Amino acid sequence: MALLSSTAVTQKPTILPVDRTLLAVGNSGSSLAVSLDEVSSVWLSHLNLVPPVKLKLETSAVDAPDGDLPLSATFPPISLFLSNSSALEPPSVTTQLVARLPRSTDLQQQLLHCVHDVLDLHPSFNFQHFQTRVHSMFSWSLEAETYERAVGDNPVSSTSTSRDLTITRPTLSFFAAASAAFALGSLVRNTNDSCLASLEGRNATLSNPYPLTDRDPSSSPAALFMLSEQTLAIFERSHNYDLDYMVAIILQVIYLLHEGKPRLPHTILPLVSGLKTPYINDDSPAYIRSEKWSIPHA
Amino acid sequence: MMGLNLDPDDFPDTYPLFEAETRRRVWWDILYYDLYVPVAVTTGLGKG
Repeated sequence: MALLSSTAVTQKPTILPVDRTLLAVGNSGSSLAVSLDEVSSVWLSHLNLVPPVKLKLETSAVDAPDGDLPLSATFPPISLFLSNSSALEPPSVTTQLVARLPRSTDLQQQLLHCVHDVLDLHPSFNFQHFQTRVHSMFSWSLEAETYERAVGDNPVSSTSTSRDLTITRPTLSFFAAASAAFALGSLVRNTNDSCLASLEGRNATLSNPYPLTDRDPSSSPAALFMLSEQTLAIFERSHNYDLDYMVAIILQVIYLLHEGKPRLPHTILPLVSGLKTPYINDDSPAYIRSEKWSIPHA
Repeated sequence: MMGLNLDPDDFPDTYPLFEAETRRRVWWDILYYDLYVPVAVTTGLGKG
């Protein structure tokens, strides 16, 4: 029996041994119960197939699995967030952490271009500025790696390293935002190459010089998304909220909206709650409490 | 508390111009997703 219902998303359907179509109307919505035999005939008719046809009807999983990434790639070790010099320092962005992001400059450009395409439909923060900061983060990583190699075995703290570098160390919240952006870019690039159409060197791109595979953590949308989530969780415990934190969550929400699953994952709800966390101090939404920013009436 | 629900113009010399505009944009994003996502999840609308 098939159950078509406006409330079927949240309610577990009750399987009734019915042989005809039933319509149930309640306060929370209406439910339509159709027997599998009738569904079969509807589909056969729709597909222009003449019975008898061997037909096997099965319920399909609503949520597809996230691929077969190994756990070590999905959950990066906590040591990546800690400076080698001292475990007493708060978690921060390290060169090993930045190495988890796509390293190829061309691939970075492609993924950011795809993100830009998506954000055209979700206008939000200034993307050009964001992109400049992403490039700056990779420049910092290169400079820090060079510095670490030069220093060699001499232990240096992350603060002294920061003093000696010309580029400022990015914050964890910004790294989380950048990871979410790359996750979104990888997701869009995997599902729709048209985002690269306007990029220079299109022909070279279509020959796929940078194939993205789910097994490569630095280009897997799921792994990059998990990296962003984990970074944000660590940031939340050790730092005050900032705008990059909000931008990271916004990008994570957009990622989940574009994931292409039959229905939105339930994890999107705590994410949206996380957007409100930094400014809410009672139960009512802030935009209702604020007179200046109240919702304009049509 | 970040005070994103407050207009930066009401607090002169507190935020640089760029940050003030970013705060406004992020605030409106929060409002949009706070309204849209619960509806999308409960009705199964899917993509935004």
